Amino acid sequence: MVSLLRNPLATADQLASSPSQADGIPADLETSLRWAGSELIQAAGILLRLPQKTVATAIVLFQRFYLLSSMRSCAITDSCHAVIFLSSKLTEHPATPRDIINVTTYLLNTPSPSPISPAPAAGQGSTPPEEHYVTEQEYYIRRTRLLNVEMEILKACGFQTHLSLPYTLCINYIQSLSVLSAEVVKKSFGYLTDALLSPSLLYLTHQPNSLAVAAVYIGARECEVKLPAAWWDVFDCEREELGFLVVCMKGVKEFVESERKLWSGRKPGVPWELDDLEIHLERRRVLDGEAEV
Amino acid sequence: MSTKPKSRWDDDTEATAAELARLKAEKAARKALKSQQKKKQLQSAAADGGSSAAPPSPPAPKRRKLDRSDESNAGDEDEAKLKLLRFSAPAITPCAHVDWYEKLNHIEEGSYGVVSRARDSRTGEIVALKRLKLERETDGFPITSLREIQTLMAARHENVVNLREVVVGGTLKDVFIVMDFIEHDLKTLSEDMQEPFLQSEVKTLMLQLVSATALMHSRWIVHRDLKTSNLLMNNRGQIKVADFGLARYTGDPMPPLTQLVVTLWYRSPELLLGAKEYGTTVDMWSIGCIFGELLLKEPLLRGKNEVDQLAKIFDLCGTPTDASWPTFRKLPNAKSLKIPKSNLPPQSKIRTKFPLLTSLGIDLMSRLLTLDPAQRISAEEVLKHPYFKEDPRPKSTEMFPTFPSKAGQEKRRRWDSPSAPVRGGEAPSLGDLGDLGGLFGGREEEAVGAGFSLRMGR
Repeated sequence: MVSLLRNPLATADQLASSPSQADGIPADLETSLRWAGSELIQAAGILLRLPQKTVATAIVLFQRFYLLSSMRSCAITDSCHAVIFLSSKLTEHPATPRDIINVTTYLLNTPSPSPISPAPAAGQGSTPPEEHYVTEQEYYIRRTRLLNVEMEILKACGFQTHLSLPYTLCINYIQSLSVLSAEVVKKSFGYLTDALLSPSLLYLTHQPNSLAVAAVYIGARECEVKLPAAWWDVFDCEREELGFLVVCMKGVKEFVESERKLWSGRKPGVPWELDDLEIHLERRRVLDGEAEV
Repeated sequence: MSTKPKSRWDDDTEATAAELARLKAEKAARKALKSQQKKKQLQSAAADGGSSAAPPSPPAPKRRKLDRSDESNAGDEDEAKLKLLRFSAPAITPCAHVDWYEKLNHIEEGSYGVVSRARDSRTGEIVALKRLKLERETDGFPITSLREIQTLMAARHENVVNLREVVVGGTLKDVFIVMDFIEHDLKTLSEDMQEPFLQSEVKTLMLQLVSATALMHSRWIVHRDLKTSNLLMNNRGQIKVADFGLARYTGDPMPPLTQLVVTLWYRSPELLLGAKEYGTTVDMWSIGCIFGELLLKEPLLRGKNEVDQLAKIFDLCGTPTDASWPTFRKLPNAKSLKIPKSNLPPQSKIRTKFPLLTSLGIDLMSRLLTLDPAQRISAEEVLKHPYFKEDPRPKSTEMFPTFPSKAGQEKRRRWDSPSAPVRGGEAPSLGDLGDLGGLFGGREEEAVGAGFSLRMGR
């Protein structure tokens, strides 16, 4: 049931029927929110000094959770907190709820290199600490929500927390093709990390061996390393699947850039909380109504 | 009458008509999509069929056909999406509700939770339901339970208890692990047995235990609580390793781990001496203790506390020397350890403790109970040990005796052992046997059902 090469995947039905969209969230907004949540998790993971395996696990858990549950029933911030907390336990690098909450509050309220942080205000060096200070009361509210959402996540995915990441396989494949070089590995790893943000939810639709093969393919190509013909067959990846994955992985950059452009400096920004989301949806309804008129 | 509309359904015809039209349109769209997909599938199937029709080298012509240019991948997108359906990966599905299970009786309660026997009302199967204790948890879902579920899912083996699913109750604090119900645990069973297991039976049990352990270790899982009460046994002579409450993933290099693991009697000397880095070898020590316990029908090293445990270990296996365990003086608790300097070489008493064991058996036992973890035998090596090849051969599991199950609340015969005859008394004469019907009486008191109890006979 559990192995290095098999992850639980989304079924075709699950991919076709998103609970968020059934709950009245437009498809493009769902994609944006998935992107924003993943960016927040990645940035928070760096500040929390968590290893990439913890961050990647958190992002995949986040994607799995919203495959089975509506974004209107659980705020993005709370689920980001919960997946970081849960994956830090699963990968044996525990982070405390307090650290997680402090870090995300900081990221969402002060300018930072992360695209989800607000743009620096003109003529101001740094934001005052009050902007990102978490009061004790707020901490307890958020912590309670974090713990509840953690249980919701475990329940929603039936405690299927198993996740094999493709990073080690990727190294393994590069080694067995005897083209091991820091350059190829770096490129390939970059694409595997990119794939976490893919709107096609590659980690929910493809097994780790295929992801690794696709990353090695692009990495080797970009470094102009020649590989034997049809080498992907050896690693149980079909040519069609490889082609699809390569297109998706290469498309992530463009997708992320368009999302960044869409949300940077926009007011109000990404609807992180449930209230924000409702306001956002209402505003969209009004705008759509106007457009129709 | 027939023309008269049924009022209840005809109230809001306009609204429903609109709704119906919408549904119809949707259906049509779905149908169109489906037929399109079907067509595509057929096409691809035909392509596959075509290529596989040439048996000598089936994949080659297909590849050559497709291998036009590497950039023309975009067109494959739809096709690749359709192939998702072929994945046999486990689906991500929400937990079922515990109400599907009907509780039958309570089995046991530990610090980790309560185990009861239950019936799956969907299939009628009997299962064991373990309720996790989450009421006192303040740090979210406990990491130990997460590890237990993760490792149980990762260690699928015929000698590891099968995790069926995890179900939840009404509140967020009700979480249950559903496992196969196994009739006995080795501890209760051997307490109730008149005689210890036969050599052939011990071999079978050990092989099963070690093959399960070998699988766990190959998947980087340390069980950390192997003991007879955690070994379940069914009525077909199979044992199943259970209770992964202390199990966790390990690595190479080993992460720092807690020393407070493994029940005292089964705890290895390096743990008792406070080693922070240890690995799968702690399980092998426990297996050695279990091996001894199966042969003796009582725990091998029954220490009262950590110090006493260590004393018992050194008494049995001899005191460590710099030659036999080069690194032991570096362990945290070794400084407080005062080993009496004696001129006698450290003697292992394993041979005298098991007078009936063959020399190969003694060899296996002393390799398992090797003080230095670096020299201790691994699970893979145990499986190849010649002890299992010599006579008596391991008994096949089908030939194992069966027992009434305590957890299953089956009736047991009570054997009040007759006391020794009083000295000086007169040997009772059988006299006249009288009514032989008495021999066949009293059958009502015997166990009903629940298999045979061959071994219980005198």
